[in-house]
Amino acid sequence: MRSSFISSITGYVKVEIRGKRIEQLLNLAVQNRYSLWDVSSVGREKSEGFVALRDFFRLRPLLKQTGCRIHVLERYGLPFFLDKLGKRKFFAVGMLLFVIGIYLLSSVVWNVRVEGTVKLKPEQVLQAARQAGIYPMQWKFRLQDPDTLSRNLHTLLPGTAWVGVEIHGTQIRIRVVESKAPEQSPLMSPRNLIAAKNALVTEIFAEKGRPMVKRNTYVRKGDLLISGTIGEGEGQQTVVSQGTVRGIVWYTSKIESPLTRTYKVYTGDQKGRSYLVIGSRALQITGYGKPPFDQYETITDQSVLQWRQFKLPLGLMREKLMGMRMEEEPVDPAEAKALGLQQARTDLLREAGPDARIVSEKILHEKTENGKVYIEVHFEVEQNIAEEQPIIPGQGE
Amino acid sequence: MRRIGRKLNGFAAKILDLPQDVVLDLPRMTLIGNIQLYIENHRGVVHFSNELLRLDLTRGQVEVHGQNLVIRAILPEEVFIEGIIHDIKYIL
Repeated sequence: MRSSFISSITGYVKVEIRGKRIEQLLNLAVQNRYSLWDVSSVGREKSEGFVALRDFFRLRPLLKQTGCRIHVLERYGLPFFLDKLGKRKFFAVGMLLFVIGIYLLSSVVWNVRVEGTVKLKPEQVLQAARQAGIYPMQWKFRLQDPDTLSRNLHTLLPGTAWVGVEIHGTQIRIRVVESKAPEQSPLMSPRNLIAAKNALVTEIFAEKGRPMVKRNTYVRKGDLLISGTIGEGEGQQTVVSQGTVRGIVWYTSKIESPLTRTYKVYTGDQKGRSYLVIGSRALQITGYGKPPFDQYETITDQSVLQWRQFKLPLGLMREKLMGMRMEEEPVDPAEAKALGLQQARTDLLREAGPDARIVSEKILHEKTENGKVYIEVHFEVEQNIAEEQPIIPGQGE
Repeated sequence: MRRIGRKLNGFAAKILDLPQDVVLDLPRMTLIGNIQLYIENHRGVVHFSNELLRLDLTRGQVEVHGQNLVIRAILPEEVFIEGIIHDIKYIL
């Protein structure tokens, strides 16, 4: 039987057989299921062939039986290689050392990587890891299993919600998820609260600090409302004043309100245009030509082509041009006045800040001329009038 | 008795469509060109040389004449020969 690959590992030889009864030898060998192949006759009583090593050694009785002689010409296979290797011992030792070396080098941690740190510094994590036994050049088998390591690191590092430790080959990856700390109130330096505007104080409530004015007192801009220095003499302390002070502030507004109103009217004419959007450029496809109306308003509707989550730089944009016209309409003076007042009120409230309310309004005088209504109004607004003033140490009050 | 047995064998072979070399114990030879010859169902090598290979069969012998004959593979009942084959003769 011939399986040359196996034979090349287990070994085979090329032999020369001499004798009269070579055929008989052949028959006997084959009957005993010896592996031999490529038999050729090279002379009258001489043949050559290849025999598997195992069977070569078992040929002796057959040779005796048939009266043939055998002579080895060439040797192939692992057993012979090993024999040669035996003479070069250092080569073998080198190979072994190589294998051992690779194994050793790969059971050492070479790299520790930290991911996911936002507030914490990587160096802190590495230091904590060192305490837990994770550091470069550490033997891998001396590390505890990842779950224990995660837990240890989590305890060692405050401010983390979860720490994950993964060992990939010779690299250790530490993933950190930081915990969200509740928001700390911003630091404030010691300060006073002073009046931002001239006002009549309606309400004063000091959470921290000493109130300096009473209700129904008229204060000017810059007057001290809540003081940051409390205590007398030795017990003096500067604190961060906190509190609300509300007062009535007077405003005089001058309003102009036009007697004609212009507004947009759609004429009903429409024109559609569509564009092909490539990247950030639009290429017009349909709807060429000037629209048949002069003034128009554009309504754009853009749809971008998508593929799953990726937005392709390709899209379609549709424009609808609606013809419009500006129309003027005369406004009733009373209505104009009302509108003007409304506008003034909103502006005022915006300026006065949140929690403001209009206590009273009085129209001082009004006149109509040049197609407009001019009104001068006096508003009283109750709003927050406290303003911060930092206390600079060294400057007395 | 042997004749009847053999007749029955041949009969069975025809009816059941069995290959004849199995039933009748004949050698099967596959000749590729004049280069390769594969003989199955032989009974041993009688003579082997560069130009002649004689094999024993169940009944009789077969001779292969040629040049540079080499036995590429040999098994108890099969032999695979390569070389330049001139003649194949049955000697009964």
